[in-house]
Order: sequence, then C-alpha cells, then structure tokens
Amino acid sequence: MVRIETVATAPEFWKALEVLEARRSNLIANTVRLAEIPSSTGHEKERAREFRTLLEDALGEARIDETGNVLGCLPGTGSGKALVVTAALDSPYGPSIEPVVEVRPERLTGWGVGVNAFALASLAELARTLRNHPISEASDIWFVATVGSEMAGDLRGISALFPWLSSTCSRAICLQGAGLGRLDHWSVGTYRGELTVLTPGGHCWRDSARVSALRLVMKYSQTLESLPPKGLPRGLYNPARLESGDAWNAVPSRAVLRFELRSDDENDLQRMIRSAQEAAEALVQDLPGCQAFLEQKGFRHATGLYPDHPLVEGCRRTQAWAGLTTTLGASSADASVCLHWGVAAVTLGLGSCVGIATSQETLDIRDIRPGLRQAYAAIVQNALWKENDAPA
Amino acid sequence: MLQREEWLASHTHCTRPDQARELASRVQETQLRLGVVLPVRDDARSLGKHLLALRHGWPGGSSPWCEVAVVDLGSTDASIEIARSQDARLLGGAERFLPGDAPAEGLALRRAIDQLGCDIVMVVPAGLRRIDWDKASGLVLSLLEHDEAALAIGFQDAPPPSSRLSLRPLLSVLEPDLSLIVDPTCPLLAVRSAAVRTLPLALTLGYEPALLLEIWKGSGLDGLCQVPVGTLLWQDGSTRHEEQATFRSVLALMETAQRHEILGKEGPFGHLFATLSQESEGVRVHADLQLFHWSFPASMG
Repeated sequence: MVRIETVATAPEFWKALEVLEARRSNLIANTVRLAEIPSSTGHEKERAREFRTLLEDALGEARIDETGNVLGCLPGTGSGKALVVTAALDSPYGPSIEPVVEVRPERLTGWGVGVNAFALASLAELARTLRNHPISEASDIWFVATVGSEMAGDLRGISALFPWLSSTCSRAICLQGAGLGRLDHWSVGTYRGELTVLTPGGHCWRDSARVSALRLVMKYSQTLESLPPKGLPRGLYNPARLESGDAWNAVPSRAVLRFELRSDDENDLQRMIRSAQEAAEALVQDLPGCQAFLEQKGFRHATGLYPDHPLVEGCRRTQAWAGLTTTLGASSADASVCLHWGVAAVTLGLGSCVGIATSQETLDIRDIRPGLRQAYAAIVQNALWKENDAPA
Repeated sequence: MLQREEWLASHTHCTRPDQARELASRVQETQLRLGVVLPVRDDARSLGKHLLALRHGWPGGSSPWCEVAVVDLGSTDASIEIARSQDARLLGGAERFLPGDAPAEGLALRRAIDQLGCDIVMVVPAGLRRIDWDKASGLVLSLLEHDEAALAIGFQDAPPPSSRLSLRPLLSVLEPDLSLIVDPTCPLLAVRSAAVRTLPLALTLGYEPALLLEIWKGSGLDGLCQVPVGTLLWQDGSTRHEEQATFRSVLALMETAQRHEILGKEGPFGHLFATLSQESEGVRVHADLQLFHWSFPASMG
C-alpha cells in the first residue's frame, strides 16, 4: 500500500491540490446549482442530466445507465483493479419539495445542499482535477452518481451496478457531504418491513367485540420493541409510519405499519427478522376473518471492514494528514452494497453540516479544504494500490 | 422598418438548448463586453446564489460577463456584505426612493449603462428566487443576432396581471405595434448601452414600458426583441409590489407619451387624453381613455 506521506512528496500532487482548492467558488456554485434541482428518491432524472453535463465537462465523457446512475471513467495506466468513487443523486425529501438555497459568505442553507449536493459537486471537481493532473501508474477510476440511495430507493442505483462492479473494481470510496472526519467502515444491517393487517371492521359500539386492525398493529409494534438486545452489538427497532382508521365511530379494518430493524451484527439482525416474521403469523392466529401480511421492503447485511483493513487504515492516514480527527462509524448507504458484494468500501464525510434532512440543512463553507484534501489523497492512494500490496 | 408579422417571426426569440454555453462562446468570438446588473433591496436570501452563478457557476465553466454589478436600493439586511464577499462591483449610492417616494429601480439600469462601460447590459432583479440562465441568456443572444435592436425584454409563461390587464392594453391604445409585446412589465431585460445611453429613462420602479415606447419611437419594431424567460418567482413569494409598479409604469408611460405627443391623438382603438400638472405634493396625472365602439361583422354573430 502506498503511504500518503510518500504520495505527498510529489510536486504534481501539490500542484493538483492547489488547482482543486483554487476552484472553491466553482465547487460551491455547482453545489448550489445541483441542490436547487429537485431530486427526491425516484425523481432524480433532471439532477442526473445536470450532473452528467458536469461530469462530461470534467472527464470528457459520461453517461446515464438504464437505472438512472451517472457514470464516467478516468482510464489509468496502472495494472491494478479499478477504484470506484460514488455520491448519491437523490435527497431525503418528498417530491413536492422545491429546494431553494440561500448563499451566505460562511454557509449554504437549503434542502439537501450539504449531504448530497456538496458530495456530488465534489465528485465532479475531483474527477476534473484527476483528469487534468494524471497520476502515473494509477488504476482506472470510475466516478458514479447513484440513484435510490435514500429509504424509498433501497440502494437500487448501486445495486444495479453489480455484479459488473465487483468484477471491475476492488475498492469503493463513497462520498457524503456531512461529517468532516467521518470514516464509516461498517454497514449497519437493516431490514425494512411493511405489515398490513386486515380485519372485518364494523361499528365501534354495535360491533365492539370485533378486532381492530389498528390495535393489532399496535400490539405487533410492542412485540417488536422487545427484540433489540440491550447493550452491544447495537440494535434497534424503529416504527417509521402507521396508517389506519376510517370514521370516528368505525372499528379500523385496515392498518399498515412500516418499520426498520437495525443491527451491527448479522446474527442479531437475522434473529430479529425471524422473530418479526413469527410475530406477524401469530398476530391473527385464531382470529376469524383477520389477515396479516409482512412484506420486506429493503434489506442490507450487517458487514464491513475491520479497522486494520488497508483501505480503512489508509483513509485514516489521509485524514490525519489533512488535519482531521477520524471518527470511525457505521452507516447504511451505497458502501453497504459494495461490502455485501465483496468490494472493500468506506464512506468519507467531506464537510461540516447541521440541520440534516430539513429545509435548514446548512453546510459550513468557511474552510472546505481539509475535506477535499482527504478525499483527493484517499483517491490517489487507492488508485495506486495493487492487489499484492502489503498493508499500510 | 419591420412589419408586425415579420417582427413576430424574427424578433420573438425561440429558446434553444444550452443557450448559456452558446452565449459564452459567442462572446469569445465577438469580443463584446457584457455586463449584468442586479438591483438589490433586502435580497440577502437570493443575491448570493445569483452572483455565484454569474461568476463561478456558469454552465460550461466560462462566464461571459466582464462586469457583475450590484446597485443597492437601500438594503438593511446583509445584501451588501454578500455582494462584497462575492467580489461584485457596487455601483453608486444607496437611494431607496426618488422624489415622490418612488422606488429607484430604473436607476440601477441608468447607473449600469453609465458606469460599467459594457456594450450590452442585462438587468437581473436580485429578489428572484430562481433564474434559468439558459433562458436569460436568450436576452443577450437576441441582441447579438439583431444589430439594430436596442432592447430585449423577457416575457413570462404567464405574464402578471399588471402586464395583461393594464400595461399591454394601454400600450396597444397608444401604439398598436406595441400590442405585440407580451409582457411589457417584465423586469428581466437586456439593453444595448450605446443605443439607450442618450435616451430619457424613467428611474423609478416600472420603467420598462416607458423604455419600450421610447425605443419604438426611435427605431420602430426593429429596435425591440422579446424573449421567453419562463416563470419569475420572487424569493419572498410576493408578486413584488405589483400595484406600485403598475402605477409607476403608467406614470412613466404617460410622461413618455406626452413628450412624444402621442396623447390625444386618434389611434385605431381610441383616444387617450392625459394632463400632467406639478402640484405641491408631486405630479398629478389625469388620464381619460376613450375606446371606439367595436362593431363585429355579422359572420361573428
């Protein structure tokens, strides 16, 4: 593994960094432009078109695949397997939101401007810098903006790139705008379920003996509350959405519960899923005319890289070199799918952000250099990586 | 002089894809100096992103603007600080109002023409929530395509009531040729500095229709272009003092019409009489519009 301290001795490396940092205003302008294009999960087309233009300007060539992902490749001269760098095209808001960004000298504020738009714009700037300042002996580098990264999308963008991606690339660096110093090396195992309960319903006074679908779902939710273990490994049950009810005086005949089960540990996650399935079956047993259906809406394995993996260790070094303090963590995003397919992957945070996933999402733009430096250095380091390299 | 049908066909711009990029490359070829001026009054929420886009976020990466200027019309928020942080040129003082409590919006254009030294100046109100730069570029492109044109005025997908119900009918009565202008109150426009520099220009809010009439008097329809600019939404969600603007527009138009002795003259639609008198509290305008009786042919029922 090439150490960052070695890479950073080359004058070309510093020249490239200088150019990257000099384009700060362009990066911020592109962040605003991308953020103001509505791009809720499933409606990423317009932002994808705009990003393709940006990536095309940066690399000379970019395309949109049939899933809606934007891809561009920077060919290298090295013999190692390719590196992939990703960022998400969608933002966590509903299709009715029309994002507007406020630009102040020290900050940007608006829906999705920090977490998603900043990462996307940075992806294009990094691609431009790497193309204009080629690294000798580097592997191919793929720059990919993915659709469907938020809850409703179930990572369908990155998932559609497999198995091709695992045959081409050995490492993935996933960029997120929020969390300066963040280094997520673990994928939080996640099960997203939707329980639908149907009962005969009726009048609340006249048919008071009948079972309420809403009550059944609430009972089910209470059962699930007891599933996550106390202490470590961490696990949780999150009831996300409950739909039910008709008239004031009616016994609800239908109720739908959306929930998530999460765990750092795959065995624990599987145990919780089994229990949830059994509880759904038991819920309507011996209740004539009642039905319960549990449907899986999304799934991610609990898996990851240990902290001494060369990719994690290398990224820690680049963060330290850029003056950042590493915070190791776990998340549930594009890297989860890469890890599931055996591609070593980490998620890097690029900036300081507050008010995430609200209209007041705010990105601090006073000094964006450390975030960019760590990302650039991590890409260079991993593009020079070869399969039989010793750990850093 | 262009006839109406010819003008509609040639001087009403059709939006093409990637006009912003096209503008940047055309400017490199022609070596023209382009300037953009943003009149600003308490527009801190939107000013920053417009300046950023004009300087550093222009599609294609190369900005066509030699000068990006801000005219402060009396801001009390952080607008000026934002303009300075984005290296925008600040023009003139901070007159919020002109005599008679008239908001000084037209002053921004006058200052830009006088001080920027650009061949073409585009006016972009800083209070717009979002600007489609591809469409706005059409304003300058249409001036580049028609050497004789002095003004390219935008028109919105759905022009506001001030245009539809007040100024457009009024212009039609004054000069039927000007009924071709879809949105005479559109604040997004571009002018050729040399052609407009010597013209009398209303300095208040709502100067646009008077400027249209002034240019039409000088060079007819050849001097005008109109360009689709989409829908203009203001950051504060308002229609941006539309009643004030309509009133000021009518005043400025009356003044221009009287100067050119158009008032009281019989046109195909009717007569417009107006008298202006200077009184202690300001100018008083009395206007009297007499429309001719319209009789439809029998075939129209």
